[in-house]
Amino acid sequence: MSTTETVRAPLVRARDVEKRFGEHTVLSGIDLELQEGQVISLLGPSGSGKSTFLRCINLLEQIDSGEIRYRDEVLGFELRDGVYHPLAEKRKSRQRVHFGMVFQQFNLFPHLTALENVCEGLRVVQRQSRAEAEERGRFLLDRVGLADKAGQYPAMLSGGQQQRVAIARALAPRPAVMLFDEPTSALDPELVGEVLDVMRELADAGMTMLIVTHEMNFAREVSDAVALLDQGRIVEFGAPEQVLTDPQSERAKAFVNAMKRK
Amino acid sequence: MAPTSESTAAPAPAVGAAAGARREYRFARPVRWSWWISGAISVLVLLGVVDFLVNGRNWQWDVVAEYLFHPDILVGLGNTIVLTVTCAITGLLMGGVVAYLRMSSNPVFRAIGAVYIWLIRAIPALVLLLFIFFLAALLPQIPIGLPFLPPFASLPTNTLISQSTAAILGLTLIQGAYIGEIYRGGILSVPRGQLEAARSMGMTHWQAMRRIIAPQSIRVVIPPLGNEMITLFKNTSLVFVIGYTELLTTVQLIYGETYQTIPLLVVACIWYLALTSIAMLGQRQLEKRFGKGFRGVDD
Repeated sequence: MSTTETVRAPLVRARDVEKRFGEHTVLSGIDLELQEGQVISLLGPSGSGKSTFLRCINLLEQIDSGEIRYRDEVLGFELRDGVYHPLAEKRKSRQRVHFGMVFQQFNLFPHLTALENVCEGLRVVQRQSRAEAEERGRFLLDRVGLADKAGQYPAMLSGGQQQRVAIARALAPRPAVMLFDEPTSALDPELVGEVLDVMRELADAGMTMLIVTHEMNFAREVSDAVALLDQGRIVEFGAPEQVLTDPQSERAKAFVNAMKRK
Repeated sequence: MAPTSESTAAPAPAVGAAAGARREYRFARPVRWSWWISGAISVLVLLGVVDFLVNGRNWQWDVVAEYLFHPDILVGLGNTIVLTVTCAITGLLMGGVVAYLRMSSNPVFRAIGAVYIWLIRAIPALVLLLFIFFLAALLPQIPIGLPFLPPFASLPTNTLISQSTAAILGLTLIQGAYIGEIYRGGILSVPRGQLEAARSMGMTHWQAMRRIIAPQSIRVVIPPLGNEMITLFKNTSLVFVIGYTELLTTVQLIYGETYQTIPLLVVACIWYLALTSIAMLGQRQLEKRFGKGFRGVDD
């Protein structure tokens, strides 16, 4: 146990998180702490619940038990007299602003240009002026290497370019934590690199990140810690080298070997 | 006729021939006999129709010309336009209410929406208009209060339901049901990820609806809405059953006296044709306006 724990309270702390879809239990008792500036990758076979966990943090799903906190704030609920009362949608919206989410399918707004996509949240949620939002938008598009694509609609961009715009869009309101939900899984192999490059730069710049991915080498390279999920539980957690080269549990060994064979 | 094929093409070039020696490929144009024949027949049929329109004696084009801009006709036309525009606005609003009911998380709202749509689809428009117009016969006083309890106050139905309010109310109820379903289809056509992306950046439900879902639905919704508006425009002719003097009622009143049935119906058709054309032009402009980002690269 680290003695600095009391000094550096985690940015995000999940405790005993459970999530069910009907009869099916997707998450059963997830514990995770994400420190400021830390990059954690969530790995695991499909259906292990790693994407669902990300969506619970961002309140796109409501958890059935346990607790997720951002700093001292309970996410999605208000704790009154020891009972968790679900928050009204408006207050959930306010909590979502702490997080920037990048989706597997990009989910760019097709009726808006790249620049408008990046500015939309700033204009609508942060109520910034057009000039203010566009300045930030152009800066971010430049940062992901797409300054020249500002006026293009998503349909005219490649998958890799779309995902980079989506990253810029998620960064626009200066979120404290970036959540990546399999950001390269929908991309053609030759386009994966450009997206990973942008994510690597973000990690190097000190951004706090939680990444669901199948890119083992990337996870090993950028992550401070790796969590291996299986059937809704974290079966192994630790430094990437240790988890990915010398896993302890049988489940983790099987998964790592399967990924190596690919 | 031109030769149909030239299959004896130039000899194939040697594999790996010099880069400069490029072979020319020549393609024959197929002769489409059936295309020419069916085209010619169609032209003949069209000419026949024109002949019928121009030389048929009973069209009485002189009568058509006489009545086309007749003051009574123009008043009727004005009434048709006023009724169409009014009902278009109320129908679009009613459609929003219906779509909201149908997509509500409240099961009571959903049921009300479903039953309403079911009834409107089942009852012929003509019958509904008559029901509303003769509402006084069923319900002489409109009570204000709670069901099964004595009303606080009541209004005589006949003062509320005139020919024009019956017409507007009836057409609004009819349009509202169909437009509501069109809206719902439009909203459902937007992928779920769009709403999630909007919500995840902190937009409230209504912000996401207004900024992200609605603009994308509009593109899908315009063609069926255009259809619905044109249907409405012609449906206004149904209100003749309750005596509202729109274009068709006016035409009927005139030919009831003069017995010039056909030319006066032609007058009505010409006006319907003109207004429909204008509406279609407007629709095309809207489609262009909201197609941004969805067409090709030359957008």
